[in-house]
Order: sequence, then structure tokens, then C-alpha cells
Amino acid sequence: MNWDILDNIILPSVTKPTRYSGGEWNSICKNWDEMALHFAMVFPDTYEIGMSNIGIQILYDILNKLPDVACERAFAPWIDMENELRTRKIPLFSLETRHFLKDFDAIGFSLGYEFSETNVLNILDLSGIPIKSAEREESDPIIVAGGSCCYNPEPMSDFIDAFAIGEGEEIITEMAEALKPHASGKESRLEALIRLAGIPGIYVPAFYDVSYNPDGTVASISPNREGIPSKIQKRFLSTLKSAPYPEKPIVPFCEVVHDRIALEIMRGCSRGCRFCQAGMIYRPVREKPISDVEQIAKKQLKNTGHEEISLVSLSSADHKNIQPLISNLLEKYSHCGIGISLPSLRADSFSVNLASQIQTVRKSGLTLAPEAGTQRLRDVINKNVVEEDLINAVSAAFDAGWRTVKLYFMIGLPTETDEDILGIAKLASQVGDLARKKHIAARIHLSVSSFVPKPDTPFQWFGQDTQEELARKQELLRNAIHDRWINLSWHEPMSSFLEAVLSRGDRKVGKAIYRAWQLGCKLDGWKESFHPDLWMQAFDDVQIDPAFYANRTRTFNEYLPWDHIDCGVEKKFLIAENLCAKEGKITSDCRWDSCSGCGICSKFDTAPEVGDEKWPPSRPRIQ
Amino acid sequence: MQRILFHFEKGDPVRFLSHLDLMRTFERALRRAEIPIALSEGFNPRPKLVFASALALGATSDAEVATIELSEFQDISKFMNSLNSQLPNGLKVFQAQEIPAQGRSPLGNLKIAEYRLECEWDSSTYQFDDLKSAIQKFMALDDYEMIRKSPKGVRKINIRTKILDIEPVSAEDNRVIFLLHVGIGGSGSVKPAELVTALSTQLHGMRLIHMHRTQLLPAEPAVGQEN
Repeated sequence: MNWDILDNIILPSVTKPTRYSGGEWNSICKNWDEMALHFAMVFPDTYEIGMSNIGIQILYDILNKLPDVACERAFAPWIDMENELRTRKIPLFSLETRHFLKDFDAIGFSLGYEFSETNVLNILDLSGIPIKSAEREESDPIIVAGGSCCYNPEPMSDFIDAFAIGEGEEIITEMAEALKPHASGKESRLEALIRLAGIPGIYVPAFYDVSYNPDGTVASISPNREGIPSKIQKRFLSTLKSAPYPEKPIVPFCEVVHDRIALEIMRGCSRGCRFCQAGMIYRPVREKPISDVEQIAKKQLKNTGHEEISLVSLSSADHKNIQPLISNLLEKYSHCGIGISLPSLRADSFSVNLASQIQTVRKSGLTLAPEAGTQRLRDVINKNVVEEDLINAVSAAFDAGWRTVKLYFMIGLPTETDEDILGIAKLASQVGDLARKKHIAARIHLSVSSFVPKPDTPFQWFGQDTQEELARKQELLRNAIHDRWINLSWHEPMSSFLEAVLSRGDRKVGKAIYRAWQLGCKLDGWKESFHPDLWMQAFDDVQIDPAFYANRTRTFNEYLPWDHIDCGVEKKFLIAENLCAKEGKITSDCRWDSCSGCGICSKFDTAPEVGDEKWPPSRPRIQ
Repeated sequence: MQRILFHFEKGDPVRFLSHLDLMRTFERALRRAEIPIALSEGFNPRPKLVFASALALGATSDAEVATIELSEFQDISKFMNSLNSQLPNGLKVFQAQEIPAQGRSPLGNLKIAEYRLECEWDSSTYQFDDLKSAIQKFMALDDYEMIRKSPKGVRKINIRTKILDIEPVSAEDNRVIFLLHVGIGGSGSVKPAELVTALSTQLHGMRLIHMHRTQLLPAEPAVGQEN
């Protein structure tokens, strides 16, 4: 391949060419010919989003530490670049050594959100690789995927050869090992897939048949080969102590979404919000010892030159040693201009006080997520925040100098009434009143999204409100807000509807994804390229009723399309939580109260790891 | 406080870095190299690092100039070595010197940029003389307006007034090469690609393949230049 055209004609003409030119600090280019396995790590969205993903950086680091494996990156090209590549018939290539994706032995996609799914199809097509798994030939790469969307792999099963369920740190090396005989030509594609299917946590959809009931629901998903497990159990690290973490993450040239050091301080969250998938699938809670965190911080600062450290987790203020960690980092680094940030804060004054310690220089807005407008509904969703917490948190934020507060809510939650919607307006105006009482000119941003029922949550059976109903509720809320300090922003109900279809879809939904891609859908997460009309046409063309997936409430007896994937948390716990929700009963966090019986610890003979210690295995159990 | 003037090259691997990307890349390299950069005062302290002139996206250069202020004294060769060890492939500091910490920045004296432009054209239609006459015709104009689009909107700019001279160098096979001198600083500068577009109205199909900045010069060319 002569790359002159790319370098001299294409790259000068496209937006943000450093998305495609590689060569970033700490990126790794190995000698192609000396490698036993060539693995392309592909994030199916733009470079700026993909390079902000910690998972990509962790797996890139692990794979490239293997002496005979080369892991290189690729991302979804932006529309202008795609047009150039298509017009000039240049297949998509890796950033490191500019090898075509089709020349790699395997391609791994990170599937973290549903709106990147059409991009997977588009990237395969741009690479000259058959989009459908069944049409791939011996010379084509093996296509694997990981990430939270894989907890319901069915909608993408026509396109992905093998899914890795759960956390990737251990499984990625096992996969690399299993792929080597195929890479060297010693084994066929089928043999490689059989080998992969033998690894715990790997789901090879071709080895499973799906049967349906007359009403269109799934009757069963079962193996069609000897020796293939009927249930695939997720993989996870039992501890984050000395877990692999990159010391030399890649430093992008252009500004990416999270342009800073991302230090994972904890994995999992057991607060138990009933709508939250992450809170279920990443159990048990595992804190990283702060001595580990500080050591990685030191190395990453030295190796990247970044000016900010973000302490990342699902709920960073919950880390038992968050206060000493922040104090230590401030003491070591604040004098050299290194900032610290906390991405996820609880709506309470403890969190705000933490945030105010680290925000001494740059004051960005403060974001809090009460999620629902009334105490009744917050109890239903098990968001254990009372109004007083929120008011105290905002009050502390105003006192500490914040003038912009963003409040995050959801509408369309199960059991919601108009009173709950009006409660959002009421809560927001209380915040406005508080500001006025303190003689502060504050801006209050209400960000309102629509509830999307997700697999592996206590709310996985609930139907989503129709778009008409969501629109009505939005209107109701809009009319209830009279305070000019409050501004309101929405998530488009149609995009929440599509997310609901894709996240709880079965294998048939793959046909709609394929058709939507054919019609031109891609980069669906971007407002400018999201085409709801094309999606509706796609559903129509393949005769799939999207409402069947989004709006229908399922019974506990129904076989769910993801029932063959074991996320660790027991279904009976999800059912119990669902029933508690309907009664407005809250369930407490097992870190501070008795065990809630989610089942993960007994299933895997493990325990939450809090404050550098595994919790005693025999703790009182409720339910 | 120590002020250092340094010269560096921006090669092929990094030629698509925007000016902002380049600043960020240098700041991070300096931090990795543990070079004590002085920060500006105020709410949002910025490293005291100034580049003479932004280079067009896609251009390479071996004539970039910048100044930096350090909060602690550094030996010049140590400064160069430790910075170079942390710069990505394609960026290299090849000369540095200490300059007075006080007083006007020498960067302000640099008024002219010299570019070497390499274009592709149809050699069966055009010859070297055609390039010469196209340049003559262009230089004979008083004004040449072009539309520049940016996220902020569309504006007209007169590119002719910023172009000091154009010197044809060679035409071999389908490649033509010429040198361009443009004024920098003040109210915006001309982009070499815009000149190529302007010339291509006479030399149809000519397109820019590569631009390389060869020199940054004071107002009086070649005289009193710093070594």
C-alpha cells in the first residue's frame, strides 16, 4: 500500500487528522513479522471517546506486555474520513503500524453502549470483512467483543464470533493464547471458536440455538454442540490489589473527552439502585488499596505529563479511604499544579466537602443525581438519598463557592405518577429558593433523561413508558417550572426508546441492526447523525415490532434473552428487589448493613473488599 | 527565572498536530522531563511557553522557534537533552540559548515565514515557464480575496497583501516546487494552501502535496539574523 494519498491528500482535508495518524506518546509499535498474534483493539466510536475509555488502555497494556502479541488500535472514522476511505477504496487500518484490520488475526470490539452497535457493522464493512459471522471465511479475522453490552449479547450475535462476558483482565490473555494456533494456520476457524468456547466466560453464539414461543418470546437458548456450557458465567477479578493497571497509558495529541489520568480506585457499587446495570454487573465491590492508587498515580504522572488525575469508580466518595487518599495526593501534587477530580458524587454534604477540597483552583459545575422527585419514588428505585441530604449538599456547595449546580433526574420510572414529576420541579425550586435565601445568583441545570430498563437489574421486566407518555411527562414538567434560574434539558425520548429495544432485544433484533446500518445508520450516539426515521423503517422492513421489546412488561416466568448469561447476581434477588420496589421498601448497602443476599459472594466464594480487607465471609443474611 | 530561546523541527509523524495540540504536547513533555516551567499568575495558571508563529496544519518545519521561562536555572544542554528524550517522534529541539529574562521577546522580531511548497500538476499540459508566468500574474495583482470558513463563520481575506514574494524552484515530472515568503504576525496570515488554490485558477488541477517551513525571518531578510 502506498500511503501517499492518505498522508498528502486525505489527512490534510479531514477534520482532526490526529485521530488517524497515530504516533502518540506511549503507543506501542511492535515488529509485525515477529508476532505470533496480531490483535486489533477497536473502539466503535470516535477516537476522542475511545481514548477516554479505561478498559481499552488496560487491555492494550496487558496484550502488549505479552512478548509475541501485538495489539494495535482503531476507531470509528468520522463521516468525512469514512467518505474519503470509501471513495478511494482504502480499507480501515490500525493506528500503530497501519496494517489493514482484515490482516489482523483477531479484532476485539469494546461494546459499552448500544448506540455504538451500528458502528461495529460499519467498521467491519469498511475493513472488507463480512459483517455476518456466518459469512466469514478462513482468512478473515476472528471477531470478538467485550464490555457491558455483552451481558445481553443476543442482538449482536449475528456479527460477533465470540463474546467475553465480564471483566477482561484475565480472559484477554487466555483468549490471546487460544487464538495463536489459528493465527499460525495450525487450526481452522471452527477449531479456534471451539477453543475459545472452552474458556470460562466466553460465549460463542454460533454454538447455541434459540427457539421461540408462538407469542414471539424466547423459549430457550441452548447449546447445539457437545461440551459447550449451557450457562456462561461472567469473569471478574477477585481483588484489585496488584491488579494489572497501565503505568504508561497512551497520551493523545488532540483533546479527548477525558483528557487526564484516569485512576480506577474501586470497582463495583452495592448501593443497589434498582435501575442501574453497572451496580449489579460489577459486583462485588472491590476497593483498590490507596497505597496502590498512589503508586500508580506517581508512575502515570511521570510517564504521561498529564496535569490532572481523576479518581474513577461508580461512586468514588464511597471508597473507605477516600479522604486520606485525597489528602495525600493534594499534599504531594497540588504545589506542582496537578489537579484532582472526582467524576461521580453522591448527593450529600460529605461528597460536596470532598469536592470542595480538590476544587480550590478551577470551579466547574457540581453535578448531583437525586434521580427522582419524591421520596416515595426514590424509595422505589432504592436511591437512598433523602431530601435533606440533597438540600444540605447544595447548601454546602453554595457555601463553598459553586454557582452552577446540575441536577440529574429520570422520568418514566416504574410506578411513577404525575405527582413524582411535579416533585422534580418542586425540588428544583427549593434549590432556587435556597440560593435566593443565601443571596447567591445561581444557575440550576435540570438534566432529565428517560428511564431505560436494562438487563440484569431489578427493573429488567418493566416496560418502558411509550414515547407519547414520556413526551406528556416532559410537557408536564416544563409547565411546572417557573423559576428563571432553572434551565431544563432533555434526552430525546426516541433515543431512549431505541436504547430500550437494543438493550433488551433478542437475536431477531440483530436483523433490525443490520437493516438500519444498510439504510445508513451509524454514529447513532451523535445527534447530527442519529436518524430515528431510518431506524423505524428498519424495524418495519424486517417486521420487528420495537414496542414488543421496549414497552412490553415481562412476567417473572418469561425466559429472558440473556438468561443464559450469568452476571453473578441471582435472579431470585432481582425478583425480590423488584417486589420491594413495588412496595416502596428500601434495601441497604451490604458494606454498612447486613448482606442483602444478591448471591454473588456465595456463588464465587468471594466477598466485598473494603478498606484493604476482605469482609468476613459469614455475615448475617436477610431475606 | 531563566528564559530560553529554542529552535525545533516538526517532522512528518507530527505534522497533523494543530497549534493547540503542539502546545499541549510540549507542556506534557516538559512535565515528563521534570523541567521546572514557570507558570503565569492568576486563576488558570499557564506555562510560560510561547511559540513564534503557528504552523499550518499538515506542514512540516525545521525552523520553529519558541521561548520558555523556567522557575529554576537549567543547564542548556541538559535542558535540550531531557526535553528531547520526552518529545514524541517527529519533534526535536536542535538549538537552544539563554536570553535575558527581562525585556521584549525576540520572537516579536520575526516577521516573515519562508515555505517550500511541493505541488502536483499535469506535466503534459504545463511547464516550468507556465509556473513562472502564473506567479508573475498573481504578484501583479493588488488584491486577491478568498473566503475562509471557520466554525465562527465565513469571512473574506485578502491573501495577496500578505504574500511578499514567490520564487519558482523546479518542475520535474508531475511535481513543481516553489518558495513562498509571507508576512506573519499582525492581523492574521495567509495559509500556503490558499495560495495554491489561487494559482490553480491558472494552473488547472495543481494541488498541494507538501508544505515545509524553511525559515522564520526578521523584517529585513537575511540580515542581522540570529545564528
